[in-house]
This record gives sequence, structure tokens and C-alpha cells, in this order.
Amino acid sequence: MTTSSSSTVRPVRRRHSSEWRRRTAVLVSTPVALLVATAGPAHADASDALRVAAQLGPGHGPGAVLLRLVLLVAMALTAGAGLAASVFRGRGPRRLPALAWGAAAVVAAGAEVAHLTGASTMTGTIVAALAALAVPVLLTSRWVVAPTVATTALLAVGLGSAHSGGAFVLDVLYAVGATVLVGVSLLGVLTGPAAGPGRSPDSRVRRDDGPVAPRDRATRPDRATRPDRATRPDRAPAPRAERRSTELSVAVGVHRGAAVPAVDGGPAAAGTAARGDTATLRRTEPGVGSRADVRADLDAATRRRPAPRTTQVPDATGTRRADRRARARKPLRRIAVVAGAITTVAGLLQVLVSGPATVDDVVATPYGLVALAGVLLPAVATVLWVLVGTMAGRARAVELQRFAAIATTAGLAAVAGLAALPTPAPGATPGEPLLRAVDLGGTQLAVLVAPMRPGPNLVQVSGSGYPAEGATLAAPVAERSHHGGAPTGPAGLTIDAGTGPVTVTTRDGATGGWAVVDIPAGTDRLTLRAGPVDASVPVDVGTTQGAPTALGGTDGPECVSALLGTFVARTAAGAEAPMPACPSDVLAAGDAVSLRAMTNFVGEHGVAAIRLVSDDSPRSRAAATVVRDEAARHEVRLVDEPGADVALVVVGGWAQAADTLRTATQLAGEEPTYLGGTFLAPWLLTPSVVTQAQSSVLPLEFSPQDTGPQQYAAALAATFPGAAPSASGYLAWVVATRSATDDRPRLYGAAPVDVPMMSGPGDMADMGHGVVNPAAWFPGGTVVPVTGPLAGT
Amino acid sequence: MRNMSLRRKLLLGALAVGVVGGVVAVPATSDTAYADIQAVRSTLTGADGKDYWVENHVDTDAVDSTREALADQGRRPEYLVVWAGDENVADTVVPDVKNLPGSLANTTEKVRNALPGPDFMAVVDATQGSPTYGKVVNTATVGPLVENEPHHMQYSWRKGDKIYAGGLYSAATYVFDVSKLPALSLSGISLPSQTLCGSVPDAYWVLNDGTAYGTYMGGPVVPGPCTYTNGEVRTGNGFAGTPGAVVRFGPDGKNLVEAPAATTTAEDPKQCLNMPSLGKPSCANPHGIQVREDLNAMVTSDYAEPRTIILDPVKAPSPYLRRPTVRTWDISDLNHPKVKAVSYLPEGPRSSATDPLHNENRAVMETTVTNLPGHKGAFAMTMQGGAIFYTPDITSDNPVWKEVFDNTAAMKLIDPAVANGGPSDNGGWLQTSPDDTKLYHAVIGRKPGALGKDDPGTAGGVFTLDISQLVDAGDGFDCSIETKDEIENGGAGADCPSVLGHVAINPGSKASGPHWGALDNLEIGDDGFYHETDQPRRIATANYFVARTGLDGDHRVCIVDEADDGSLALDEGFRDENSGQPCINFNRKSWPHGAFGNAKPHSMLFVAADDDIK
Repeated sequence: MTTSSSSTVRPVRRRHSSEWRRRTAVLVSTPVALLVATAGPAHADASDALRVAAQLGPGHGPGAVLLRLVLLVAMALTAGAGLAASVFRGRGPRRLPALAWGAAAVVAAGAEVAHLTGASTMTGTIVAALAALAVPVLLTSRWVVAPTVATTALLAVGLGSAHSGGAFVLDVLYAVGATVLVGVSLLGVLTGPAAGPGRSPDSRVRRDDGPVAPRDRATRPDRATRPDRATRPDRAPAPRAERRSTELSVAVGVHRGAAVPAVDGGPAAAGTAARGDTATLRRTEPGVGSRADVRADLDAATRRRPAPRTTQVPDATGTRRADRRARARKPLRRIAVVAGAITTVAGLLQVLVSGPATVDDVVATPYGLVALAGVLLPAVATVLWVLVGTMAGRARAVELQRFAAIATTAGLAAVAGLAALPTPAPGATPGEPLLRAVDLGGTQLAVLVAPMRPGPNLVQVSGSGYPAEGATLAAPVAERSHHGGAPTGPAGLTIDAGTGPVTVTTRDGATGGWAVVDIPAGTDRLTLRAGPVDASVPVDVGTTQGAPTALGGTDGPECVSALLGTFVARTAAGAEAPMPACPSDVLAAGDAVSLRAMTNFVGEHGVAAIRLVSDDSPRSRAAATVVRDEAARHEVRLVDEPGADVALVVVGGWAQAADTLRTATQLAGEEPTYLGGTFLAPWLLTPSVVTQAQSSVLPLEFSPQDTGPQQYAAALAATFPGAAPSASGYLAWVVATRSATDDRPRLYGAAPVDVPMMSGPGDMADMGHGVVNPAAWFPGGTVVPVTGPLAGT
Repeated sequence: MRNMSLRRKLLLGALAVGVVGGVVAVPATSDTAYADIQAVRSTLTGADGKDYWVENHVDTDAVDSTREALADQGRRPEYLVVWAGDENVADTVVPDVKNLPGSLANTTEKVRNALPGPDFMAVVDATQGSPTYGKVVNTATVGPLVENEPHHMQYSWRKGDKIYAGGLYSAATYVFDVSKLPALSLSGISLPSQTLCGSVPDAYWVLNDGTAYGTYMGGPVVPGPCTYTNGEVRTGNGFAGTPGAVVRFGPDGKNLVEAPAATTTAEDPKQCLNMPSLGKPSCANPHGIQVREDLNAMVTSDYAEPRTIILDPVKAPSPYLRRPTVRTWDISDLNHPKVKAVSYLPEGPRSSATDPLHNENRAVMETTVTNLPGHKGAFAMTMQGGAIFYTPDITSDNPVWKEVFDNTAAMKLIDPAVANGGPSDNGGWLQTSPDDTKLYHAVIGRKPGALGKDDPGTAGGVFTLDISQLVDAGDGFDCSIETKDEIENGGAGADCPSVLGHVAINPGSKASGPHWGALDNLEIGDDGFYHETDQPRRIATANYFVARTGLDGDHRVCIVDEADDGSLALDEGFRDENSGQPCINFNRKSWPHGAFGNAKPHSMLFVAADDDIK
């Protein structure tokens, strides 16, 4: 008597079906969405931005990222299918060719798209497409091994293309391990419940009193075991095997839902039955293969010993058969577990080698989360395969293997997507300035902390629109800086090291936001807060007090600019150089030569009087002495007030220079002022200073139009959006990269060059003023040599 | 493989053939499109001791095959040489930052392209009927200077001429040898340290001896007094300031003469605002330049002091930074050009004290001379004023200029939806025909809102005026725009110019028309060689001004055909090799010199190789 019907089973199947599809969707869509959302244009982190800026290659747009993901995943599936087919040795399940063809077609199409978009060479495209397409073509041939290996190799190289050295090897291991895991999992999924112990026992017995119930494809008998076909010899599904089956109605006992043939030594039983039911058993004649037999063969093959010809030994006892199959599955499972372990370990080692360096970065950055997925997903797949070996796991083997395949594929996609994501910054080191990106409520900020010693530290934050220095008002000011390419920073931004919040403000002559924060020894994080949102910056100032520097004074921004120059050189150019001292600490020999020559030029130019502006930094005092001495040599008067025929010479710091030039510009609009020229010290070449003057002249040992300064400026803008290039920063970059400057300084003219095209107030919004090239030495203007090498240098 | 079935072998083979065929047959959009191009560099040493070069990237296959195909027709190639600048973040960041505020990531993305690519001369096949008509067959990149902001060359090219081309921002003048087109070589370069009394080079005029005058719109490179080659001294307010200069260059780029554009007397302090103020105010910021060697006369038009510091971010700079003056010169001694007269163009009937920016005489960008021996006149146009002026005698000590056409009358044909199209129509190129019968004018069009929040703006294009009667009238011409009706419908005087032809370029877009143009003064003769013609029938135009100003254009270079009746029409056959659309799009991913992306075409010339022209 039969009591079950399909109607009681189907909902379960549907629920299972929809459930695993939902889980699949979550498993796949989450990392992919994360990747696509955070990749492409979203190079939010300094390190990645540097990489991009340094390479200056084609961008990783979302399309390119998606293409990479699709290609590599399709390669893994293709290679996995090939691997499965090579184990099947020509007797694969019906769905394997479909999968192989589908995946290979995607690889071929993806490769062609990559070629058309210029992302791959013609040779590479052809090799990838041919290798992939050869897999389904040769699927039932032993030659399938060759394209499978080739596709796996291409996958490994593609996955590791973002790395070199040990990191590349780890990517290769990951790719190979993942491919094997995918292949073995596919094997399990596609061979389905016919595998015996791995199948769901209660899904295999056909009720005597009703039609075949199971509709779930995973649990549906294959063609060879379908009663309607098995009873129609003329429509045998596998002609070459000459399979023939007969069905017998036998009384069975049911043990935990598994059909147990009543007669030991009888025909092989397949099917499910409820307790006390009569199961339909299929007898397999000697010499007739079934997919279960094939699976046993495969299992045996993986043990590298002759497969027992189970089909030639009729076995009426399901228990014995199950035991034998269970034994046969063990090597396969072992392979899967080992492959999964290798993949997981490779992913884990990659995290240790390539970052993120801190737990915060693992859980709070896109890179960290995706890297974590790249480790956890193959680990999950491994665990699933381990579960397959348990009694409970056997009952849901197909489902577990399906999830293992999906998890592995998703993990591979995650690792593939890492190449398009910004690498989190390294951790903090006492005494080493820290540069890293911070996500403050969705606003990406670059943050630099120096000198990373106990006590006052200068913090620079990217963005514009912060309140003026000295203000405590939390609201941002409306006025943009002249170097206003940076986005507006968060309103009311404060930084707290546990000693109370410090408001981020602007500094005259510099871009970005600034705060001097007292960081006690033992502090492990700074908290950036803007209204209700906050973010942490891991810090480690150690316990050793540092020597006082100019960082905390008015020359701090210039000092930070020099540090940034070295940072840029370190990360973009791979330079290993110590952080420089603050430039305002001493007058560099080259600057002294330049100032002397510039003053000589002023004297030779016929200017009768100089107004010299300096401050009390050691460098400025020394510079003023140089200028005074040289002016005296030319009998040029030094005056304290502006005048029509007076030359203005500024040798102070950025803040003083910006203020002086702004005042001079306003004066010049009212009456002829400083027609003797405006001459600036070399270190004053930075946008926030030079843009304050209608026109100025500087002695420089480099041309901002040359490749080196352009590279530095571009990499800097990518590293720290809104940070402006400066002569001090560039010279630090030169030292760190062991580049060279010109032998002799020349005078350079700096001026805004802009044909005023506004037809009215409405046109102002379309002008370049205020929103400008973040990598420009003179936004909206130009800096060009106006003399040859200066006399006396 | 012996075990493989025949069907499988066939399938594998078919797939292999299909894949390889597909990949090979479908062209990639990458650099590989120009994979076979060989770089040939022409280098010279500049005055500063550094090497400067032009590097050719000639598509030899295209050039050779085209030459063969044309030879079969008994013809030779003609090229359009376009002076174009690499577009980088400085040119595009404005709208992007607007659209994507607060995004660190997008700033970084923009910076990816921040390293400027080389500026270049694009050599485009302009031979009608050529199989590669419209193809860029060479990009000759200049180096090492970047961000030159390529601007103007001379107005037309004749056999034997060098090409003089300036960089607005680099303040450098390049001299190119084009005798071996499509390849160029560098004959000389003038650096800003060689032109101390001027900056911001603009336009050039090549003299009969192969030397050239060039206008330097900006002031001396260092503020203060500057001594010119004639020994005179003018005090300037610095780079890109005032006063500018006219420089005579040798074919090797050497500075032969640097002449002051400012006179020794102060000019109108109201009309000639200088920032910073000068002791002697001056409007001397020469932009356009044309010469009548037979009359020993030169005309330059003052455009604007080419720098502006925004002291108040919500207030437009003073309109008086844009000039209303034209200078006529005595060049009887080519090495001693002297300003003979400074003429203030008259305010027209539209002018008002409340909106001086749009007075008819505001911003005299271009001037053009008549050509025939019996004519001594010249025309001038205003970019913000939207009007055309004429004087019958540029040799006079006191030339009389009158407004002879208000662009409103032509703009309503180009953009029929707009009635008030003259003011701020952003006119540019102005050129007489060699036979003095026509006047060609290119206009960008007006941006919406320029005249107020309800201003819809105007489209741009090219129009031609019949000037034959005006020019023939001599000193006694009576055309003068004085009434509203004359503004809208052309002058009532019998000799007033009338619209002969017009064509809108980018008619659906406001302020997207051409800034510059060039007449095709070359004509293929029965002998198969090119000859100069006084009946040009083609005009090349470029939709670009200066990105930094907000007038960026769509970077397309088009050709306009002129019919016998003077009507104008876009040459639909001059198509972009990538998109297949009419006009050559300089916004493209790859060039023969590499994947440097968009470029900004400012000016162009029709040129033929020396062996192909007589």
C-alpha cells in the first residue's frame, strides 16, 4: 500500500528549490553587488588610487570589473566541467555538456568583448576562447584534460594578474584549488541522487500505487532509471550502453527512510519508500551501466585503482551497495576537502600578505569584506563537503554539493574582484606619519596624521569648505579655496583622541582641513565625528616623545606637503625613503642660491626698491638675510610700504605669503602697485599661494611642465584628493625617488591665463574658477620659464 | 586524437576557425587599431638648451593606398592640418565635480587622466573623393611641453609656407615644416624666455618672405618695464597682463622683432581697465592679425586682458577687461612695425551704459583685410558685441570704422527660434574671400541665460555676407547700422552687406557652434597639381574655443561646402572614421599616437605636400 503522493512531496521540493535559489542568489549577488558597487570608479583608497595614478592605464570601470568577474567565473565553471568530464570518462550526465557549453560560450564571448574593448590581445583572446570551447567539444573524450588544464592555467594567470611574487603564487593556488573544488562539486551535483548514499533516500522509491512523484530535477531519476523509459527498451536513453532495466515490486523494510531490499543478494534496489511500503526496484542486468555505476567508477577512479564493476555484480542488498558507494565517495570527498582547504588557506595567506592589515579594515572596508568573502566562501564549501560524509549530510548531499559549488564560485568571484578594489592602508607605526582613507558616513576622506608621536599631532583631512582657523563654529563656510577641486568636507568635522574634540579648520595658504590633536601615549584610535556619524582611525603613537617640529606651527601644512611627497614616492614609485624634516627648519642650499640669483635679477631689471616680507621661521630669517645682502650689493632700497615701482619679495611661509599677495592684489586693483614685480621664494610654489597674485615670478630648479612634476602632482591628487602640489612636496618626491632637478634655477612666471568669457552672472557657474584641476600646479593658470638659467648660479 | 570522432573534430575545427576569424575580422577599439604606425621624431634644440620635438605617427598603409587610389584618378592628396590639444582633467573636471559632489573616488578617477598627453597636429585626409576622406592619417605630437593649449596658426597656407602655431598657456610658438606632408618636421620653437615683452601668443600672419608676425596678447613675462627690440620701453603688469606685443619670427622660430602694441600715451582708462593698474592704461592685447604687405599696413584687434583673478566669486569680472580697439600699423620696415592708430570701435544702437558687456564694440577678437590691390579696407568683429565693423582705408592716419552688420540679422537664420541673436553670439573666425566679394564668419552661439534668466541662448554656425558693394564703395560708403530694423534685417544702406549663405552647426544645441574656420584655398588643376584659388568652395570649421573659459564645444571638425549661389551646406561626406557620422570627432579614445583620449581642435589649415602643389 502506498500512502504518499507527489502532492505531498512537491511543496517540499519547491520549498527546497526556492530556498536554494534564494540562498544562491544571496551568495552570488552579495559579493558581486559589493564588488560592482565599490569597484570601478570607486577608487576610494589612497593606495589603490596611487596604483591607478602610477599606472595611468585604462580604468577599471564597472564594466571592466564585471567582465573580469564573468570571465574568470566562467573559466572556473568550464574547467570544472572539464574536470568532471575527465573523471566521467565519456559517460557524463546530460546536464554536464549544457553547463560546459554555456560556460565556454561565456568565456569566448567575454574574451571577445575584452578584445574589442582593448583589454586583451588578439592572441590571448584566441587562446582563451579556443581553450574554453575545446572543453565541451572534447567533453566525452579523454582529450578533455588538455583544454581543462589550459583553461585552469588561464584562470590562474588571470586571477593572479593583479599581483606578483608570492601573492601571485597564492592566487594561482587559489584558482587551481577553486577549480578542483568546483569540478568535484559539479560532479556531485550533476550525478545527483543516483549516486546512492549521497542521494536523498526517500526520493528514490516509486510508489506502486501512483505515478512517479518527484519532480525536482535533482532528485528525478535519470533517464536510465525512469520507469516509463526503462519499461520501453526501444527508447533506451543510452544506446551505446545497451542498458536494460526491469522493475520488481518487492517488499522492503524502511530504515530511516531508506529502502532496504528484503532479499539480500537480489537485484540492485533504487528508490524510496515509506515505512511498510512496497518499493519499485530496478534490476540492472549484467553488462548494463547506470549513472550510479558510473559514479562508482568515478569514485574508484579517484582512488587510482580499478573500479569494481558493480553493474556486473548484481547486488540486491541496498545496504551493501550503499556501503560500497560510500567507500567509493570517500576519495572524491577527500579531494574536495583538500582542494577546499588549499583554497581557503591560499585566500587566508593572501589576506596576510596583501592586506588588510587591521581587523578594522577587514570588517569596515570593501576590500576587507570582499577578501573575507574570498576566504570564508571556500571554507564554507569545504565544510559542506565534510558534511557530505556525515550521515545527515548524505541525506542532502546534492544540495550540499550544489552550495559548495556556488560558494566556491562566489569566493572565486570575490577574489577576482579584489583587483578592482582599493587596498586598505597599512597600520600605524609610532614615529611614522599615517596616511589612510576613512569612510565617514559614506563620505570618503583622506586623513594624514603626523608625526605619530605622543603629544600634539597635525591632522590633515581632505575636502574643502571647513571653517576658518580659530573658528569653533561647526558649520562649513561657503567659500571654496582657490584649489577647490576637492569635494566639500563634512560639516562640523571634529577629531578626538580621547582628550576632547578638536574642530577641523582651514589654514591660509593651504588646502584641506587641519587640526592639531593632542594624542596621549597608548591611544589606539582617533575618532572623526561630524554630527551623528563618526569613524575611527587606528593610531599608534608609541611611548617615545618626538622632537618638536614645525608641524604644530604655521608652517605645518608645508611640512605635511613634504611628507605627502615622500608618501607618494613610496607608494606610487616604490621608493624607500625616510620621511623628510620640515622644510621651514632650515634654508636649503639650493634655495639660497635661487634667492640670491632672483634678487640679482631684480637688481639687474632696474627695480629701485624692494619690499621684503618674511617671518620668523629659521628658513625665512636666513632667506631674508640672503635677499638683503644681494639687494645691498645692487644698491636696491628696502622699503616697508607698497609702491608703484616697488618689487614685492616674499620669503615667509605659505600663510603669510597668501595673505600678503591677497592684499597686494586688492591694492593693485585700486592703484598701480608693485609694478616692479612680485617675486616669491621657491617654496611658495603651491596653488593656494600663487593664485592669490595676478602675476608672480619664482626661481625654480624644475619646470612644473616636466614629466616628473606632472607625475608627482597627479599621484598626489590621487593619493590625497584636494591636496595641492607644492615645491616642497615635489622636492621631497625627488629625494625619495632619486630623481634630479635642473642644474641651475630659472625664473618662472606664474599667472592665471584665462580669457574671460562670462557674458553675465549666469555664466559664472560655467567658469573654471573655483572648481579646477586637482593636479594642477596653477589651477586656471600657467607656470612657465621666463628666463634661462639665472646668472650667478 | 585518433579516438576523437570525425564529428567532434569537425566541430572543433569549425569552432577554431570561427573564433580566430571572429577575433581577427572584428576590429578592436584599442590601440591595436594603430598598431602598425611607426613613430618618426624631428628634434631640435631650443634656446634653453633643451630638446624639443615633433613626433609623427603616420598611418602609412592608409596614406600609401590613398595616394595610389588618387593617382589612378590623376589626383593628389590634400590635407587638413588641425592644431589640437590633449584634453585632460583640467578641461573636464568642472561639470563632473558638479554632478558628483563629495566623492573622493570620482576625484581619483578623474586624476587617472591627469597626466597630460601630448598636444599634436592632426593630419586629416581632406581630398574629396578619397577612399580615406576624413581619416586622421597622422598625429604629429609635440614635446616635451604639455598643456600648450594649442590655439591659432596663420589664417591660410600657401606653397612654401611654414606653419606657425602658438600655445596659449605655454607661451611658445612652434614652427613646422609641412613640405613632406603628411609628415611634419619641427623648424623652430620660440620659448617665453625669448619673447620677454609679450605672453599668451595668439595668431600669426606669414609674410611673403616666409617670416611671420605673431600677436602676443598678454603682457611682459615679468612685470615692470620691458625694453623692445626697437629700444622702446613699456611698463607692463606681467604675464598674461597688458600690454601685449607683436613678434616677427623667422622660419626657424627666432625672434626677429618684438614690437610694442601699446603706444607711448595712455589710452582710455575706463575702456582699458588693467589688473593690476598701469600708470598708462592700455587696451593693447592684440589677438587677430592680418597684413597687407602691398599697402605696408597691418591690422591687429585687441580682445581682452587674458587673465582674471576672481576677487568676488559671485561677481563677473569687469566688462572693461574686454577691449573695443583696433590697431593699424605701419610695416614699411618689417623689422620696425609701428602702431599708427588706435581706433575705438563705435558703440552701436544696441549699446547701453547698463550693460556695457554686450555693447556692439565689446571684445574685438578678429579682423580681416581686403585683398585686391584696389581695396584698402578691413573688417573687424566683436565676440560679445556680436557686430561687424568696417573701415575703408587701413593706411589712413585715422581710420574711420563703422558698424556695417549686426549679427542678429544672420543669427535668426541660423537659429530661427531666437530673435535677439547678436549680443554675445561668441563670434570668432572672420575672413574675406580672396576676391573681396564675401565675408565669412563663424559663431559659437550664445549660452542660455547669458542675457538673463529667460534667455534661451542661440545655436551657432557659419554665415557669409556679400560685401562686394561695400568694398567697391571705397571711402564714400554709407552703410552704418543705426536703427532697430537695421539690427534685425541688415543695414538699409545700398552698400550694406547682406547674408549670402548660412549653415547651422549643431543646430539643436546652444553655444555649440564653431569658433574657428579656414577657407580651402587650394584647388586641383588640370595638371593634377594643386594651385591656389581665389574661389574657395570649402570651409573647415572647429567646434572648440578654450575649455577653461567654459566654451568647450563638442570638439568636432566639419567641412562646409559653398554652392555657386553662395549657399552653405554641411559636407555629409566628411565623416568620422570611427562613428561614421558627419564631421571629424576629436573626442575619441585612440589616436595614431596612442590612447590619449579626447582632444581639443582649435584651428586648422588646408595644406598640400610640396610635391603636390604648384
